Amino acid sequence: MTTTTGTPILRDEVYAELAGIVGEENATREPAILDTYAFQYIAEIVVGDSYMGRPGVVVLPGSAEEVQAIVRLCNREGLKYKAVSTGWGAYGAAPEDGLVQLDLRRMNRIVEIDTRNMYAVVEPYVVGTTLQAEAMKVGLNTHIVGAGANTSVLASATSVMGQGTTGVSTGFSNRNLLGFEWVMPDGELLRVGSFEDSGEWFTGDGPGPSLRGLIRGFAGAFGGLGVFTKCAVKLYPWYGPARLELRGVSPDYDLDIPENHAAYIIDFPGWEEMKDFGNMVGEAEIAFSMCHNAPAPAIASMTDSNLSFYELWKGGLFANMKHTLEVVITARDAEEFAYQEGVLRDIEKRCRGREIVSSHYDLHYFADLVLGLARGMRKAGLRTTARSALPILRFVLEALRKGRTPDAFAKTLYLALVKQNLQARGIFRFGGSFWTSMGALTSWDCCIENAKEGERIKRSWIEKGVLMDDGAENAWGGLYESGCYGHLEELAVYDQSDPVCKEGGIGFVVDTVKATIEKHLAFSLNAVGDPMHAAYSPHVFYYHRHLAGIKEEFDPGALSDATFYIDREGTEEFIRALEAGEEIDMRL
Amino acid sequence: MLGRALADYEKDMTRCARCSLCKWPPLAQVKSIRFSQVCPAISRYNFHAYSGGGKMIVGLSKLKGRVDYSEEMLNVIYRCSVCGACDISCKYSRDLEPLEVLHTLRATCVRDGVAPLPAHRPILDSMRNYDNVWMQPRKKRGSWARKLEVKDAAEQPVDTLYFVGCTYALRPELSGVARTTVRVLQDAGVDVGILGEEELCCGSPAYTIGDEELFVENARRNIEMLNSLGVRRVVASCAGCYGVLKTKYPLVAPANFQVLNVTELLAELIEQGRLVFTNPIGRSVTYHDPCHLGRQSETRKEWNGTERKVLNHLVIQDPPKEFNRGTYGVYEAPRRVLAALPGVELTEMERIREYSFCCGSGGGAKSAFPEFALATARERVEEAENTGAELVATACPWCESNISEGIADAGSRLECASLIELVAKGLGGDVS
Amino acid sequence: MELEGLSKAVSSGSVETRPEILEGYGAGNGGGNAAPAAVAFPQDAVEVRSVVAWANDRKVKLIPVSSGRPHAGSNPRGEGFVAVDLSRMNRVVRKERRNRVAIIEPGVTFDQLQAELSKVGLRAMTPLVPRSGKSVLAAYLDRTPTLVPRAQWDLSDPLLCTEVVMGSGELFRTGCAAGPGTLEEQWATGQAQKNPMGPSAFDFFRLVQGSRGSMGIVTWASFKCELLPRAHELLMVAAESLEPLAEVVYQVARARLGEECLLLDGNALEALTGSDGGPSYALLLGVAGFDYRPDQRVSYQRKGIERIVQGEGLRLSRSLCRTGGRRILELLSTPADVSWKDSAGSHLDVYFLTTLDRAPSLLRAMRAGAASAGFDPYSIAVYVQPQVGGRVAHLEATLMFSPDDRPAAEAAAAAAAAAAAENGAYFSRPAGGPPDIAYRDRPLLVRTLRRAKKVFDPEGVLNPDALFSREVV
Repeated sequence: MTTTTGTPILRDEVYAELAGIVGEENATREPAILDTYAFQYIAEIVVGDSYMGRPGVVVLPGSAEEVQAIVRLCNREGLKYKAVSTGWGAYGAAPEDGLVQLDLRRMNRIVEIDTRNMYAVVEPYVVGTTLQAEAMKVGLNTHIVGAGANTSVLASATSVMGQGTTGVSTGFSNRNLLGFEWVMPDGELLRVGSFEDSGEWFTGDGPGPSLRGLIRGFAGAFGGLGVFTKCAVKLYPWYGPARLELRGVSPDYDLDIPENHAAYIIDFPGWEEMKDFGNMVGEAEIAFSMCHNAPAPAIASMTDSNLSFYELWKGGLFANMKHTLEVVITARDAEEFAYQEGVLRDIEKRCRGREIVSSHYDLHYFADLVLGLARGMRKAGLRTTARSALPILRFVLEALRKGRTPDAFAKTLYLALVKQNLQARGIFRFGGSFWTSMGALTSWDCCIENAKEGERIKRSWIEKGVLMDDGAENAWGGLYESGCYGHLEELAVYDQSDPVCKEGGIGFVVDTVKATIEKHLAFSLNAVGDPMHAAYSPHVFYYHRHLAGIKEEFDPGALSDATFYIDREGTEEFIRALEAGEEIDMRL
Repeated sequence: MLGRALADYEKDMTRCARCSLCKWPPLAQVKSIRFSQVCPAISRYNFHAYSGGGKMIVGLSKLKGRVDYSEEMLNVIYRCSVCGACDISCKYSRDLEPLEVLHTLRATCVRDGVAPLPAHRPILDSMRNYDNVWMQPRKKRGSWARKLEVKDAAEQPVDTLYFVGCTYALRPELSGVARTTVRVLQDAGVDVGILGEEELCCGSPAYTIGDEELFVENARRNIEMLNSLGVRRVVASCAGCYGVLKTKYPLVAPANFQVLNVTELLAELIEQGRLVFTNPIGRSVTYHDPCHLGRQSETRKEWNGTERKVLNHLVIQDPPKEFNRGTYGVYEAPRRVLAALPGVELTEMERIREYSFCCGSGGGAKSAFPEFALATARERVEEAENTGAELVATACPWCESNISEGIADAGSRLECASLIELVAKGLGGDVS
Repeated sequence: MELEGLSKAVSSGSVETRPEILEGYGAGNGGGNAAPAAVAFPQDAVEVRSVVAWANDRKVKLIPVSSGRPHAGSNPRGEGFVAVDLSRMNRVVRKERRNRVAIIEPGVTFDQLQAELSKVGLRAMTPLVPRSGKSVLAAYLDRTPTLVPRAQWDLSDPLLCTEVVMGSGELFRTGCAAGPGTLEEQWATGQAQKNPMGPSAFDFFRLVQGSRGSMGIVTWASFKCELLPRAHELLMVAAESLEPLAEVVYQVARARLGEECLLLDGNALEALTGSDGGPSYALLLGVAGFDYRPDQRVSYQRKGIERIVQGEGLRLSRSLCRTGGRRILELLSTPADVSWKDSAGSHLDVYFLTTLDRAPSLLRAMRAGAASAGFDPYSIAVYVQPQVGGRVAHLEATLMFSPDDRPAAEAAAAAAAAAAAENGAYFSRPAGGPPDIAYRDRPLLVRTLRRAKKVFDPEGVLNPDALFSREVV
């Protein structure tokens, strides 16, 4: 029996059993509700439609024990299952209909914040914003991923990726994972790390080999290896107030940047200086945040609608101011601030950087602002500058009229980088959606090579009309672990309601994948799912065989949905096709 | 907007990123995990469909013929107080209209004959038959003011019409607020009148339930009558009436009067020195922003333009469209009134102003899903208790009533009071 | 055992079967190991692969050895096995200032490495007084704690990318070193093998690390280097008990101050410095300045630390055990021919992970355990190494004794370890306690580890008894 879209209907007795596990009100087969798990961001690129497969049932377990019971039932019945936390993105769903979807929303507790040992134990539905709010009360902070503070801390740490703009001081989600609780694909529950012995979650490594290595790498298994029901993540010191008090009303919040904190946008003559600056500031360990936002999303973040963005953007000046890094300093006291800012400015000087946005006014800032703008104008040309001047002036006057001070940009920047609250404004508002590309975790120098290549490829897809003309340079990313490695991904904005984008978008992705392989630009963040594995694996020690080995050993029935993880046969079929010189459809 | 179909919002619904931002306040405003949710429906029912974005998807699925009406689907659509918090959070970043989609979903249900829900029918019938939502005969509408000396605006010219609303007029436990309002305004020298039995329901419940035809009929009759009175301004102390008079009536017909909420007028009178408080209140207070006085009180301007794409896929509106983002809601006036009251110590809750957490009463939730409404109220009560305040002040009979029930249900020691009652107390008068 | 194939697998003359040589691969630290039937000395990854292929073919067990001494009790039991000695693979493949990274083969020792790195303004993170001739990679692969918690973002640090021959014989590279592209091609695009994660959705290096050679044989690895300080001094604080010093460490960690950061008791300090007069406990805190405003950095950090120390009612000491800070700082990282722990002739370590706040009570439990076995609890040397920015503490108790007293010391060490385990010690490195202590009552964990091994070493040729006994659960 099927529904109107062909979804297989779950057997009544199995449904009853599932409902018995989670309680009647926490299980549903209602198509209208199921569809809200099928409709997903980037589904139109992944499967060519706004909807992924429709699950056969959605259950809302409230505990690890309930998750275990569901997974065991799925094993007994041979049902595919997939868990989501906040469930954002096609990776939370499967292309085919009928799986058992576990929505972990009810598991939403911060189990513990160990203030002294600087870690938190969280359940799946704790998100960056809630953990941060609680952590800041005790002088700590959490790594929030670039997707935004509305995403699950656990999902990022155990199952997805983990890039974020404060990575230079807060690391990467993989690296922040400590102990974790894992409902394995067969329903066994394993607590990995120190907890079983010590009652505390301070490490996930050992005894002996670290099983952190089994469950994720650069990417996670995206729900393809059981369900993670609890995890501990590192927290980091926070030298700001327990709460950032905002003034004003949405969409225009204002705040005072705390003492000994500061935010800057620094413009460089070119990419090479940006490389040097990133490496030097990284190793100097003075930045809370250091990242690159391209001009288009930066301007979008500062404006309250597409229209106001367009007014500012259309003159063309900003598109030319692309060699920038955003830096936030959060020092503990005046002495440390003096050191950090002193070092920042020494390095700025060496790299010919100019502060075009700064949270404090001094002669240095004003001189840099003028020179930075002059550099932007020089790059843009006289006509572009003239065309841009009036809207910019209008925008500034309007901001001043609203009572914003000249450091308004710096304040918005500070808020965005600390709270990670402006992603939707900075990237989704334009056309509705975006795809990302390139983005390997590698040395900062190579990250910038990724950005340059991404821009080059994207320009051609803009010319074809498939992507929004965001100036082509729309790399986003930063450095991690004091500059140990970085990432710059090339964002490509499109309109998911437009068939031109739906059909053409994948072409851009394919071009960037080929470029990263042919030009040795490291392992792209797009290397997820069988077609992508097929593209990369032969150039990367046939890694898919080992990944598939893990999957097959721990989930021989392949019930934990592996659409965004690994299927050996599927991947090898694509590899054979590629080796035969065929073009493969990178959609799933 | 009125008279729209789901098809009119297809692009909005398709462009939902399913980011879930509609579930939280604008993220930078989240102050704790405990009070981090902003949507009562998703907080209670958990399935994504219950969120603002979820309902956008339900709308899209309906439009595309992927799903058909069912009891559970109607639950998804109606277990919602249409408080608009999702809309604010979404529009902090996006140029989308989730609240309009929510409304249009309901209007579509009514047009398709699957709504109103059985629990809503008596209310709408009462509006049709008695011009009030409480199934009371028309002539009882004026009895709250029987002992008051107040001008009948239908009979003699007045500067300011006090629009009382069904609930203050017909619920004896709340009608003291209406009397107090008149007395306070009179004390301040406002030339105020009322319509007594002639007053009609504002039509708000019909709008929120999705019966646009009934709403338009009500609105048209009201606008005609109010226009005919020649008053300078209409003051409402019910946030529901105020919200609909101010923001939805302009979609129906032009009005020749200004619409004010009583808190705005009080703040003005205080600033003019026409209300002088002598009696200390001596209470620690927290303030609950009613949705229709706060984020939903921005006048909606009819926009019949088209979408245009520039830079290949940057979506803009032609002619430019003013999005209602909750920026200009009435947030300051009630707080200015509270600040002026002697002996009031105001402690804010975590979710306030444009991202306030709803009391749970609106959108027909109270009548159709009382358990949901009560659970929502209890959530708000807990948040209020968390401030340490003794009293929750508000400016809406629906909020006051539901929060009071929440207090009773929780066994809380909090009290809930209308702002006007505190004003009366500050003036030294008795309440009611 | 038929060794002809093995000899073919490695360059001529690179297989040893002389008993006196083999004996060295059996005794280990404290003995108890069987000796191998042969030792192979591969010269490169190709030869390592050949050896592993041979072992798979012949079902012969292998034990990888980097610096000549397998862990006590870790060798396979009861059957012929072959040691793979990697000490001849000792090239520093690359050292690079810009990315603060080096790539080394397993035979590279700390002495050798530091001389190379200082030429380019870098230094390697070291364990406390590394043994001369100690393989750097062996230390990093065993998650041996290093001295600068601030520089350690992950317990796996400073290890980054690896080239590894799996038990199956397949050659693999981990982290971004995996490609696309050869190392040379990667270098040409500015890459530096500094992202340890992946490739893709597994971190094989994490399974190799801590596996004591039971998952794969690492043929080179990159690791994080730190900048060579331009100004560097050691601040020292003495106290009667661990607690106030732990409090100082917490605050210093929270303020992200300092470089080297470790706690030693008087016994350890005296043994380390060779002088008596040690305090009950001491905190050693390095402060350094690097390429940017080094003196200003040292100055503000020093002041910050002083404020914290004073806040706890303590003060900085000029010397400990009549030894100045400069000398102690030098001692901490300089490889030594004779271990400071062997001042009485021999020693046994019990070590595990905990958190700093629990270290004092665990130490008391261990002392009580050792005392119950007749060992003087106050002769135990104590070393607490904060790790991962202060979130984790490596607690190490060293029982120093004359070689004649080994049986009694072993009993005391076992009692101390058991007492610690009962009180929540986490033996993340199984060699920190008696065999199987880390795996008792963890059948699912053991099963999971066995399954993980099966994926990468299906024939089980690599050091199968390295982690736990076959009968563990």
